[in-house]
Formats: sequence, structure tokens, C-alpha cells
Amino acid sequence: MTDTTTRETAPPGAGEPLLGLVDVGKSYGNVAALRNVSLDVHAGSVTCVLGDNGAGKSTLIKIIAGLHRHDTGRYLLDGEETVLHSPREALDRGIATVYQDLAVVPLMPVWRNFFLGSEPHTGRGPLRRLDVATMRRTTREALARMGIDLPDVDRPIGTLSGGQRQCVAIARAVHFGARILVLDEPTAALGVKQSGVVLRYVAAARDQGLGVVLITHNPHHAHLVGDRFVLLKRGTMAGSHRKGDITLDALTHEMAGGGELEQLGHELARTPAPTRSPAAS
Amino acid sequence: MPVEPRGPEARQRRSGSHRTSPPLNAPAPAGAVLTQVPARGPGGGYLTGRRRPSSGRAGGQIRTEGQEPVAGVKWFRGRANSRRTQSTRTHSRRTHTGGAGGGSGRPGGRRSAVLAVGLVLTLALSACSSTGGKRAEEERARGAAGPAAVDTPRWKIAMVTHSGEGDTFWDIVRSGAEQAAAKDNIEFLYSHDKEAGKQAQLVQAAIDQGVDGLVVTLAKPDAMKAVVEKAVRAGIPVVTINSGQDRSKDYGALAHIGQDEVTAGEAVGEELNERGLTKALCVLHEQGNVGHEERCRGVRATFDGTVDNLYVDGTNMPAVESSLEAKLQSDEKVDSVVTLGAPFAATAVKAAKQAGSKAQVSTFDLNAQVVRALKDGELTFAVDQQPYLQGYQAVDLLWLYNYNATMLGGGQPVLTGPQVLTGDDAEALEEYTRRGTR
Amino acid sequence: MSDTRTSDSQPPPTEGPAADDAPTAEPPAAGPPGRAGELARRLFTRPELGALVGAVAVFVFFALSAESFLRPGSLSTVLYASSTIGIVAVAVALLMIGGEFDLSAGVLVTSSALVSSMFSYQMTANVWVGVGVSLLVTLAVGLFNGWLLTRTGLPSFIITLGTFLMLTGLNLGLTKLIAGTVSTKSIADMEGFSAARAVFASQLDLGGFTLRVTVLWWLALVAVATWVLLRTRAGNWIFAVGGNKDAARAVGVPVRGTKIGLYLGVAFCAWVLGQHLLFSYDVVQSGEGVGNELIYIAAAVIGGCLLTGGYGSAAGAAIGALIFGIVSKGIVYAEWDPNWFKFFLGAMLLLAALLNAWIRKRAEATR
Repeated sequence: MTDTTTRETAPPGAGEPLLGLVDVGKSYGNVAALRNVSLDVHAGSVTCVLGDNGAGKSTLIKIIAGLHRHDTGRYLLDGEETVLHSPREALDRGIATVYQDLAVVPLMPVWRNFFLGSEPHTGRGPLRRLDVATMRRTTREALARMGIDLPDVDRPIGTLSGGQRQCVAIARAVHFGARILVLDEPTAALGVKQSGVVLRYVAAARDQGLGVVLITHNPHHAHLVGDRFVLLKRGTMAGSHRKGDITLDALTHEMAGGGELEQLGHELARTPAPTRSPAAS
Repeated sequence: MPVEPRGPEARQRRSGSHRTSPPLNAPAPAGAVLTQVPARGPGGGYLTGRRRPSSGRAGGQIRTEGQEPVAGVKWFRGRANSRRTQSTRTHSRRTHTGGAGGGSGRPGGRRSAVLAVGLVLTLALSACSSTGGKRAEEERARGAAGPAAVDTPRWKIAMVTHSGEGDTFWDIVRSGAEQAAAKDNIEFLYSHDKEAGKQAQLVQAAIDQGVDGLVVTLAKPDAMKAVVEKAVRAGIPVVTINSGQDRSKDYGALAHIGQDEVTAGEAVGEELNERGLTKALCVLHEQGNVGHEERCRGVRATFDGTVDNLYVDGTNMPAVESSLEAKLQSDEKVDSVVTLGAPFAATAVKAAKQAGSKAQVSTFDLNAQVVRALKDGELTFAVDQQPYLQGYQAVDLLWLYNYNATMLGGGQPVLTGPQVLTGDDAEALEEYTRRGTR
Repeated sequence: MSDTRTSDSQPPPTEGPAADDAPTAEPPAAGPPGRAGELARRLFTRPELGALVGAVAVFVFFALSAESFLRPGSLSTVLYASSTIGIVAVAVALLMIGGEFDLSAGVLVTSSALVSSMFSYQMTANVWVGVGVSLLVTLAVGLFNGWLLTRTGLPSFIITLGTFLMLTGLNLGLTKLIAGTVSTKSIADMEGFSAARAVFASQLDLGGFTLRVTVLWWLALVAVATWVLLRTRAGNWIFAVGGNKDAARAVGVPVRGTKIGLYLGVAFCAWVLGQHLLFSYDVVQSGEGVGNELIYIAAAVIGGCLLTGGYGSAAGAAIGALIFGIVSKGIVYAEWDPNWFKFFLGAMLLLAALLNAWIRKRAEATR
């Protein structure tokens, strides 16, 4: 934890962004899920997208990952306007997405999960088959390189802890040459210690030169690793900051709803606290 | 019984006039009624208040012998008709073949359909079978569509049976009924359900439709009682067929046409005795079917040896075969296998061969395969209850009743079987089983 | 993916090395990873272990209670009965691992036989033409199932229930329309029949033991299916689409293609069995096959396939089919009151499933 907080290595905003969204919007039928959202992702830096439930985070992630197409605005990849048609295409263009709940197939062994969708082959003709030995070995090595020590890659990935699962997914993205790593709420369901582990791997990925998009509703986690912060509120952008421009307190305040929270505080304060005798037993 | 299949005379007669023999299933084209019915009698009027026809209203010239026309004119007409039927059938077949590929997998299978058509065009031309098949059948087939032979109004008669789906036996019953309906200018409605409750609902539906006659089976009589009595109260003449012989009269039916299952079973038992057999296996292909139980009970009643029941899953032919095999392997004393339905006879023969058993196989009911096996000596005998007759007579009797208030049997059951058929009869039967009327 | 299954020219894979890397739901056994412990752990995490124990149990049971059960002729009968279930059950198991159902598999077998028979007969074509057309039509039905499923996103239960009913009606209606009766005409006297019979319905006598060709088809299909599942990309995808469809899609697995391929696999196996029916009995009853779809599913479940998908094996389904074969014929060999047959079959099924669940739990507890 302390390790990542002290790190201030990435030069935020240097050079051309890997990925840029300009005034992107998306509607489902008549419902506008996202309006005029802009963000940049630079190599070796972390862009955090913060927002409450229903703020449009998942829509944004689906657009970036190629699951959905944006209706308005521009999607720039390496400065070039792009339309992605499928997650496969996004992957091919170097955008890897790790979803919070659907990152892995729980019943499959770690090594099968690791190579899912990009399985190496050996042999030819009817004997063409999965290169199982290579798959196992590579999985072990790639995880080790990310600092993950997993004794048995044959374990079903569902038996790993939530943090470990996220880490395997991140290691997979790094291994397959992702340039942009999109993480959907990687710390949402995790305890403090597990969250620290994941954030460490996020930083590790950043240090390997990846552009990271970190989606979260936890400003504390975001502030630890983030270089830029984009705040979403009911489908629109509520703010965009650089790390130097905003303090954790300000971020927390904005994230928590700002004025709304104060209003809520007033309402709750007026309610008289129920008188309760201290049950000293 | 208009047709007596045994005896050389009958055979000769049939082979001589088979060009004009009754049609397979196709009812006469509607136009045929107008153009081909001979001159009407002077009375001309038809029965309209048809439920209880009074005497003296007979009009029109009626041929009830439509099955066996002898006059040269009719013969000629039969031939003309046969040509038409032939071409209609060819047409409908073609339409279907296209549908088989496209219909089931149309949206995604366009490429498959194209491939299929390609295959048809190339292979069917180059890879024709010189033996068997439709062509061989067509060379044999000379069926003629019998036009309506009467000029009574188009009465509506419904038949509701307890048949399961795709049952050969009931298919023949239906063919017979349709043949009679075509001849008698009757609009024939057929429905069936093997569950008694649903069958009763179908009878109710027929009552609601206001039919002029009702043919119904009483496989589970108690379930059918209320609705049959309701039909009788509604003034609909009811004839029961096939099953429910003892209850038919009580429920108010005018006649019962069929064969008592127990009697048929008893006939089998006696045949087995004649052949000196000692242990028989009764193969029931539907668990809980009352008729099947009765057939086996009949066998047990007259057979001097022992009878074992074997239940098999009739919807799964390999399972029938393997179960039979298993039984024959485990009990080598079995020297006779009796199947309760024609489709299972050939399977039983196969199973006996597989199990290395010497058991003789015999069966209830007929179909083309059974007749072939009888001919080849693989089956020892078959007991037929003449299902065609059940359908034909029921419809024809209802027509007669509406027309002339006459009823066969005077309330006593009219039996259509059992008729024991052996290899000697096979040749004469072959043609009829092949076209699905026996 | 369907290509791997449709071509049975592939050499059967060796079960040994292939068997130890199937996706396993259980965590490894705790304790020092001794060689014996490792082996036990691998064994305990196999999906088909419960079924294997159950199969051995019913086998021993009937071997003891029916003296004629152990004769070679009897065993060949049991194997034959198992193979006629197992051929389709293998593909159904793969489909279930892929997270879907197929209720139309039972009648599709009959449809396939009907198409083959009626096409040959009506066109007076060499029976091999009918066999080929039947394959196309059957695959088209599979394609239709898969396409509709992936296109609409409706549950496969509903879609295949629809095709099941439609096929049942088509079987009866079209047969009656074309053949004039509810069963097809015999094609035994047509050209190509004997060759086709050799392929689909022949047998080999080995002393008292009769080896039916369906048993070979069954084993070959199990081998191919196992190979596909464990040693090909397609297999990885099957586990993935059944285990977590969204995750699979997110990493670029062609989910739709995989599912359609699985339905094509079922159709192919239905075709094989359909041709067996036809060439074994010359004629086909159009009302047959209803109810068998549940037996296939039951065999797959007994064999360790999860109803929810993502877990199971082809070999397990084969063992499940074997259990069905042993029990259904064992009751006949034991000469028990047939009225109890269905009850006993159901009880065996439940018992096998419970045993399966118990072993899985035990394996989990050793974590």
C-alpha cells in the first residue's frame, strides 16, 4: 500500500493519448445512458473514472471495450477516429478489459482461463491440438513476472480469492500485449488487504507502460494510483481533474455527492435520535 | 363383411379387378360427386331432417357396393380417376420435398437447402435405385379414387379414438372410415387422444360442432360414459368401435363394431396350443394400456403353457429389441413370442435371432412388414381384427342409419375379428397392406 | 468446431494424459502433494467418478441378482442398449457443458431416419442419397436451434421445446402425407441398402459376444468428443461459454459460433442414430423417439454434467448411458415384476445423482 502511494513516476499527460473519448454519448432507446463524456488515456498512466451506481460507468466501459457502440461523439485510438465492432476487435487493437464479476470462468483451471480466447496450438492436421505444456508453463511464468505466486495453475480459478482472480486477469491482459487495460471496479468486492494487492498490480501494469482505465466508486483507491480523475454523474461528466489539481478530500467530497450530502446531513440531523437505555448487561 | 379375404375366389376376384379397388386414402375430389353420380331416381329429394329418418324418403340411386364395382363403366371411370389421383399425389410429394429441407431449418439453412437441391439434382439422376422405392410402388399402384356413390346431403361424421400418435393400426381404421366417407358423401372429421380425459373433450367438441354421427372408441369406458351419453341425449347417433364392447349398449350407442381383445387373445392362445408350444412371452409395448392387458389375458386364458408379460418402451425401437433379447437370453424356455402390435413383430424376429433363441414369433395386427415376414416364414401367424372394417363399417352404418334408420347387429356387437392369418394368406394380403388398408 | 466432430477420421485420443487436465470444480486436496495423494486428488475431481462408482455398483448388483447377466451374449445386449442412448447422450453432454439444453434430440433421431427413408423411397434413389440428404436436413434443424437461440436469446429450453413439438408434428404429418401411412415403406430392397446397413447397423460375432457397430460409433464419438473437449480450442470455448458466457465473450470467444456448433454436434449424433434405426429395421415408425430426449439429458447428468453448464465430460455421459443400459436390461435379466421397472429406473437415477453430489462434496471437503 505505502509502496504505491509514494510512487509518482508516471508523467501525466505526456505525449499523444493512446485512447481519447470526445463528447461521447450513448442512448438505449429513449434513455440517454451517457452524454458528452470526454477522457484521455496515456501510456504509463492511470485514468480513474469515478461515479455512483447508475452514473454511466458500465456504459462507458462497454463502449471502450467494444461491446457497445457510441451514438455521438468521437472515439480516438492513437489519435485516429475508430469504430469498434466487437470485444475481439478491441482486443486486437490492444484494449483489454477486466470485468469485476465476469473476468473469469470459475470452473476452469487457471491456465485455461489465462489463455481463453487466445489458445496456442501445436501439431498439424487432425493432430492439431492445444499446446497444453506451453500453456501451463507460460501461465506460471507470466503470473510470476507480475509478482503473483500461484503454486498450482490447475486449480479452478473459482477457488482463488477475488483479489487473486483480478490479478490473474490483469496478468493475462499484460501478457497478451494489451496497451490499454480497462478495469471495472476491481476492488469493489474486496477487503482492504485484497484491494491493496490489486492496486499494487494496477501500478505494476502502469509501470510496464500500459494505459490503465480504472473504474471505481472508491475515491480512496482512485487517489492512490490515479493520474487523472473523471467524475460521472447521471450519465454526464461532473468533473475532470489531474492528480495535482485535486486533493483526496475534495475528490471524496465531490464523489460523495457534494452539496447533496450536506443536504442529507441536515435531514438526518433533524430526526431525533431514538432514546435508548444503555443495555448494560 | 364385404370383403372375405380368404378363399381362392375372393383372391381371384380381387386380382382381376384391382384396378378399381378402393383408393388409398385420398378422398374423392369434390367435383367428382357432381359429374359422376349417375342419374337420380324420380324422388330426388334428400333427407334433411336426418336424425330420425322416416320411411319412404329414399331417393337417388345408391350404390352401397362401391368397394367392388363390377360394371364396365365404373371400371373405366376408375381408370380415369386413377390418373388424376396419381398426378395430384406426385405434385404434393414434390412440394413436400422442398419443404423438408427448407421448412425445418429454413432461416439458417439456406446453404444447406441449396446443397440439398444440388444433391437431389445430381445424385438423384445419377444414383437412382433400380430396385424398390417409389417407382416400384407406382408400377404396382393402380388405385382409383372412388367418388361419392350417393346423392344424400353432405352429412358430418366425427370419429374420436384413443389412438396414440403415429399408430399404424389407427391409421388403417382411419383409411377405412375415409373410404366410406368418400363413397357416402360424408364430411369426415377425425381426432384422437390416448388420454381418456382429452378424448372425452374431443367428443364434446364433436357434439359442439353438431355432427350428424359419432364414432367413438371406449378404451377407458368410465371416462367416456358421461360425454357419450350426452351425445346420445343430443340426438346424435353413436356407434362405438374397437373397444368397449360390454358397455357400448349401456351408454346408448346404436352398435359396436370391433373385436373383443380378450377373444383375440384367446384365439392366439389356441393357435399356440395347436403348435405345441409351452412358454409364451407377451410383449406389451405400452404400459397401462387396458387393451394390451386384455390381449395378454386372453392368451393366458386359453394357452396351456405359461405366459410371461414383458413390458417394453414402444417409442424406442432399439430398446424394444434389446429388452426382448435380454429376456430371451435370460429365459431359454420361452418358445413363443407374441407381440401386440405389428411394428414390433419384425423387431421380435430380429431379437430372437440375436439371442440365438428358437422362439416362434407371432403378432396381433397386420402391416406390410408382418405380411412379408409371414410369407418368408419368419412369423408363424398373425391375428388380425381388420381395423379397416371397423372404420369403414362405422361410417357406413351411420350413413345407413341417417338414411334409412337401419342398424346392423340389432344392438349386439358386430365382430371384425379375430382372423388368424398365416403364410398361406400372405400373398393375397401383400397388396392391401402395402397400400395401408389392411 | 463441428468439423472436428463430423469427421470421425481422427485418431482416438489417449484417455490417460487427456484425463487429468479437464476443468475441475474442486480445489486440490490439502496436505503434502505426495504422488498417491496427487493421484487421488485428480481422481476425486473427475466429473465422471460418481457415475463410474454407480455403474460398477449396478453392474455388480445385477451380476449377483441375475445369473444370465454375465453371459457374453447378455453383455453384448447391454452394450447395444447403452450405445443407442450413448451416441446422442455424448453430444447432449457437450451441449450441456456449453450451458444449453436440447429437448428435440429424441424426435430429431426419428426425423433423420424418416427423411432418409422417405427421400430414398420417393425419389427411387440409391439409399446413400437419402442418407446424405438426411444429414443435411438434420444439421439444418440443429443449425435452426442454434441460430434461433443465439439470435433471440430465449432460453434453449423453450426453443428446443418448440422444435421438439414441431418435429413431432412434422414427423407424423409429413410421413402420412408422403408415405400414405404412419410408417415408412421398406427400403430393404433398394440399392445401397446393404452397404449402408454395414455402416450403420451391422454386427460382428466374436464367439458368444456380438459386437454391434453402434458400439463402435459410440466409442468413436466419445473419443472424438473427449479430444475436442480437452485438447482443442473449441473444447476450451465450450467450457467457457457454459461456465461464464459473458466472460468468454469478453475475451473474444465466439460464443454464438460455439453454441451453434454444439447444436450441430447433437444433430450429427441424432443423424447417426437415426440411420441406425432405419437400416436396422428397414422401416421407421413416425411416432417414435418422444421421451428419449430426457433419457439423454439424464445420462449426461448422471455422468457428472452440471445442469447449469460449464462442467462435465463426454466419458461421464457415456458411463451414464451405460448405467441406463445396465439397469433397463438388468431388470429383464433379473426377471423382476415389470410393473416396478420405471420406479426402479427412477430410483437408480436419483441414487446415482446423489452419489455424484456426495462425492463432489467430499472432494470439496478435502480442500
